[in-house]
Amino acid sequence: MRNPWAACGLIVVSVYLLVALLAPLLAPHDPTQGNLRSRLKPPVWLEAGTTQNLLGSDQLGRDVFSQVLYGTRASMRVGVGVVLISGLIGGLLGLFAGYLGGRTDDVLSRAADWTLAFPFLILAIMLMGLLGPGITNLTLVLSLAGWPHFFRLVRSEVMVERNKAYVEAAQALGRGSLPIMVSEIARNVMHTFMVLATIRLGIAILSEASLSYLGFGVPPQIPAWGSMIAMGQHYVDSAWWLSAVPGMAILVLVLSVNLLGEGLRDALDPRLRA
Amino acid sequence: MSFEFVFKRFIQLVILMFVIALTVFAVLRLTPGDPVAMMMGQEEGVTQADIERKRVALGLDDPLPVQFGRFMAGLVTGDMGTSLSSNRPVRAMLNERFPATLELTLVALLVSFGLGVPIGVIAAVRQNSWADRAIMGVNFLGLSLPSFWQGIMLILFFSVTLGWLPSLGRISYENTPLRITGLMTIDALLTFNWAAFADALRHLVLPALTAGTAYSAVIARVVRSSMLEVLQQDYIRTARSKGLRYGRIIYVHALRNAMIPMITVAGLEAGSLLSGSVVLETVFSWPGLGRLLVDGIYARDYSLVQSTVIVLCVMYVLISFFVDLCYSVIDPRIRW
Repeated sequence: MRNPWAACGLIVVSVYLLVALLAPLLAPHDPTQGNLRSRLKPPVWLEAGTTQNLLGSDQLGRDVFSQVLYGTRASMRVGVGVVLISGLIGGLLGLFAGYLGGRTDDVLSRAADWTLAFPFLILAIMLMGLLGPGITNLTLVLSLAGWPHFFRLVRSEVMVERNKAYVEAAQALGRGSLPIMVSEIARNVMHTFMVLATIRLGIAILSEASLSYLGFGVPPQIPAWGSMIAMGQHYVDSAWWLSAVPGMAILVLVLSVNLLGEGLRDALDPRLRA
Repeated sequence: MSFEFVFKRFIQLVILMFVIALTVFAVLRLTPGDPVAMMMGQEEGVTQADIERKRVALGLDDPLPVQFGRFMAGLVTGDMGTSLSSNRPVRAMLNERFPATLELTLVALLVSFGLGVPIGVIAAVRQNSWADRAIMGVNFLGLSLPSFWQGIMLILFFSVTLGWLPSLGRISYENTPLRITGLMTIDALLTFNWAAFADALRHLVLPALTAGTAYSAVIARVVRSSMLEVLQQDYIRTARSKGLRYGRIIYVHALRNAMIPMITVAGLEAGSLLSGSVVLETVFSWPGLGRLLVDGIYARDYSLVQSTVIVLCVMYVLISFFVDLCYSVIDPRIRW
C-alpha cells in the first residue's frame, strides 16, 4: 500500500483490534470496580493527577483508561458483527439477484429500496428501547439497516461480471449456477465488497456509540464508549475528561477506519469515489 | 414537472407511510413484554385484575387487526389517544414539540448548505492547493466525528470554559415570546421582541452547528467533485474566452450545473439530519420530538412512543419526497 494515510489507518485499526483482544491483560484496573477513595481524579498530566489513573477516574472511582480499553471490545464486537451479518446477507442476496435476474431480482431489489427508504436510526431507537439494551439485539437491529447497501453494490457488480467471457466459459463447461456464482463471480467482486465493508464498519461503530449514548445500545454493566460519554456529560463542568477521552477513542478509530477505506478504494476500485 | 410524475411519487409516498405505520404497530405489539404490566407493575398495590381492567380500557385485548384498524383511524383523524405517563392527549404534546424539531432541522440545513457549498466551491477552484488539502482534511475529520460527542465538546468549550453560549433548551424562561408559529425565532420577530430573538438565536447556535457539521462535510465533498467535473466542460472555456468575470462563471454557470448531484446526495442525507437531531436533542435538552421519543421510551409510554415515531417518520419521508420534486425541477431531463 503506497498511501501513507491508509497505512496509518491500517496500523491504528490493528492496534484497536489487538486492544480488544488483550484488554484484560492491558488494563491496569478492573473497569467495573470503583475505588471510592480516588473519585473524579484528573488525568496524569494535570495537577492532581496520579499514575494510578492515567486518564483519570470517574465519580465512582473507576479507572477511565481501563474502561476505554474494555470499551474497544463492545465497539469492535458490534461493528464487526454488523458488517459480517449485513455483508453476508446483502452480499449473498446481491449475488443471486445479479446473477439470476428476472423475478428474483425484482423482488429483492424492491425489498432493498423499501428498507433504504425507512428512517432506520429512528426505528432502531424505538426497537432497542423496547427490546432493552443488549449486544446481540443491537447487532441484529443495525444489520437489518445495513444489508441493502451491500446488496446494491454486489448486485450491480455481478450484473457486469455475469456477461464476461470467463462466466460463459464456465457455463459452456456445464457448471451449475451455484458453483459459478460462488467460486467464479464472488471472487471477482470481493475487492469492491471489502471497500464497502470498511466504510460500513465506521458507520456501524458510530451508530453503536449513538445508541449506547442514549442508553439503548450496550447494556450499562458492560463498558462502552457511548455510555461513558453519556455519564461524563453530567460532569462536563467539573471533570471534562470523562466525556472527552472516550469520544477521542471513537474519533481516532472511525477516522482510521475511514482512512483505510479511502485508501482501499483508491487502490482497488476508483469507481466507488463519491 | 409532469403531473404524472408527481402523482406516481405521491402514491409511493402513501404506500410507504402505510408500511411504516404497519411496521411501528407490529414492532410495538410483537416485542416481548406487556406494556400495561410494565407501566403499572412498579406501583404499590396493583393487582392482576387492575392490570386486566386497564388492558380492556385501552382496547389491548381486542384482536390485532381490530387494534390496527383503530390505530390507523386514529392517525388519519389526528386522535392519537392519551399519553400513559402524563395523562395528556398525545396530539397536544406532539403539537407542542414539533416546532422545536422543525426549527432546529431547518436552521441546521441552512448552516450545512451555507458552509458546505462555498467550501466545496473553494476547494474545487483551488484544486490541489494547500487550501483544498486543508479543507478536505478537516472535512474528512468531520465525517468521522460522533456528532453527539462533538455537541458535548462544543458545550465544554463555548458554554463551560468561555461562557459565551447557553448549553440547554431553546430560550431562557423569562424571554419566551408569545406562541404564534411555535418557531421561537419567528415568533420573536413577529412580536418585535428583539431580546427574545437574540436569545433564541444564541440557543440555536450550538445544536444547529453540531447537526449541520457532518451534513456540510457531505455537501462540500459532492460540490467539490461535481464542480471539478463541470469546470472542465467546453462551455466554461467558452465563457472564459468571452471575457466573463471569473466569479460569475463559477457561481452562475458552473455551480448551477454542479447542483444536480448535490441535490441527489442532499436528499439521501437529509433524512439522516433528522435522525441525527433525535440524538442531539438529548445532548442539548432541546424540547423537540426526539427528546419526547427518548423520554417516552424511558417511561414505557407506548401510546406516546408510537405516535412520535410515526410523526418523525412522516417528516423523514416528506423530506425525501420534496427533494425528489426539486430534483426534477432543476433537471428537466429527469423523468420516472
